Amino acid sequence: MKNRKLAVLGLAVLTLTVAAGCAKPPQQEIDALKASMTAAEQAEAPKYAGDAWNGAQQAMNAVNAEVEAQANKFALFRSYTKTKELIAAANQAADAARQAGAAGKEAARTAADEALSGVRTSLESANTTMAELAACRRKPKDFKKDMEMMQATLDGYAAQVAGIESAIASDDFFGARSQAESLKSSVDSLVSDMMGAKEKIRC
Amino acid sequence: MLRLRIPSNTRPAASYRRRSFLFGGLLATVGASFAASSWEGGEPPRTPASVAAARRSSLGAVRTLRSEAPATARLLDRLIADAEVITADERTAPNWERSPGRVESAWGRVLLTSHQALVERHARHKSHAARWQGLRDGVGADVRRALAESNEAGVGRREMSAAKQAAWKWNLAQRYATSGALDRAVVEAEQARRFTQIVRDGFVALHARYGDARQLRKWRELVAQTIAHSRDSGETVFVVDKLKRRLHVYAGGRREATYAAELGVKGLRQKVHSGDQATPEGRYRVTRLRGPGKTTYYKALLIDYPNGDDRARFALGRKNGQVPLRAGIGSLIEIHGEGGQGRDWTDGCVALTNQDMDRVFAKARVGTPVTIVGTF
Repeated sequence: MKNRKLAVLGLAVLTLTVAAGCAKPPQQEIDALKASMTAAEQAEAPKYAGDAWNGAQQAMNAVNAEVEAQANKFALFRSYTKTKELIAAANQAADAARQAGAAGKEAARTAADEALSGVRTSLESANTTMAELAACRRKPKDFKKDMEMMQATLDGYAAQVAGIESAIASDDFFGARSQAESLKSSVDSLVSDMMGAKEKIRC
Repeated sequence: MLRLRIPSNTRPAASYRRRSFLFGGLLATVGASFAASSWEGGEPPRTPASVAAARRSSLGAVRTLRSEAPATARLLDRLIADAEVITADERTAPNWERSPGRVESAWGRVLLTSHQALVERHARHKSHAARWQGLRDGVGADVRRALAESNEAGVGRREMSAAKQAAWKWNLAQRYATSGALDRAVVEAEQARRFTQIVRDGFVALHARYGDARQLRKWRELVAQTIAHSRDSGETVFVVDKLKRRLHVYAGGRREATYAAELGVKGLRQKVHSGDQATPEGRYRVTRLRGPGKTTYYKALLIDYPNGDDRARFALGRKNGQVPLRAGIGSLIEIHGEGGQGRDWTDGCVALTNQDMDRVFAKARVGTPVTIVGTF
């Protein structure tokens, strides 16, 4: 009789153990988090949103550490509630990094494009002023040499536009922007010289 | 035979007691191991302070390296993630499953990698700084020289453009250097140097004929013949040295005066056709004296360009395709006033200051020999 009671008790404990021991890591959520991190990396978050990416990376590390900590516990005592909370937080951080990365890249591209279009505007203005100077009736004796110098300068500056375009095409937005800003200031200075020449010869 | 008899009522139920002890012992062992493995109530074992410091330091390294060495930063990200997992594992594993030194080893790997990356970065910066130091003065001087050389009479538009590009690249390099991006500064400075080299090559090519012994001999002969003519006839003659930008006045074979002269925009080249802005070379004579009001350049001495040699050179140039189809041989080469501008600016004439022109004009007659050479 006693033996039967013991057997029933043992069976109950075993059933409880098996039932409780079934708590498994939330693998689906972890895989989704990994996909979010990959998406953030593909959005170039490390390059354009370094801080947000670092935050996401640390949140991911916290998730992995928690999963490991739970794995070390006796099956009956495992709980993945905190892990799920950490995964949710890490997902948010990864999404934020992805958005910040995309926004940062777009902002850098826009800034570079704007700087390049500024250069193009300046070059158009320089070409117009050059044409006006060339059409000028009054031509002082050193005019030809000056015109030649200015045209050579303008040619040199115009040749740099291709370099800026290629920097933008290869996603070097910061470099392209720096080059474009420097080039624009040079072209603007040339335009101002040409305007000065126009005034001087009363064109 | 002695038989020990134990009273049946005091003898324990051996099998039952044995089972009880076994069961109790098993429960106690399992309980103890649960307690050991799932310690929840008290403080969990602490992460060593050295790990916190290593974490702080390696995250700082990642932040530093992220933009400059993204691949290394990614590697460090992975190593830190591994180290965090190992730390969590060691912190929560039962005592008998822990491996002493595993956490330290994982963070040690992170620290070593980040240290190496930072050392490499430092070395890279140092090398860029050294390269920049080496380039800074040299390229600055090269650019200044290129700008000066691009103003030299005869230097082409390509060289002028290259000089301007060199100046722009140099400005960009300085801009990068100021913002601390020495790697980019070095790249731009090296490009600036390449542009200055284009100017230099053009300049050297332009001057190459001035160092050519055969050419020099020919020019010296021309000058010697002119001076001999002056000595023999007692006539005043003018000799123009293009390279030195000088006009010498000889009378009776002796040099009487020397004046600073300016040339055509491409004056160091040999004139071949109209519009090339080069100053011709050869023996000529004054054909006409233009006083004030008869020239826009104060006073002028028209010479008989083109002479026979010029015509032959022009014909050869046309045959070789060096002369544009619509270009003629040109004319109206003069020695005139309005000079003193400090640069070569004419269309091929020789310009003197008005004061010097007065003196030269006073000595000139129709037929006065004028010899123009590269140098002598």
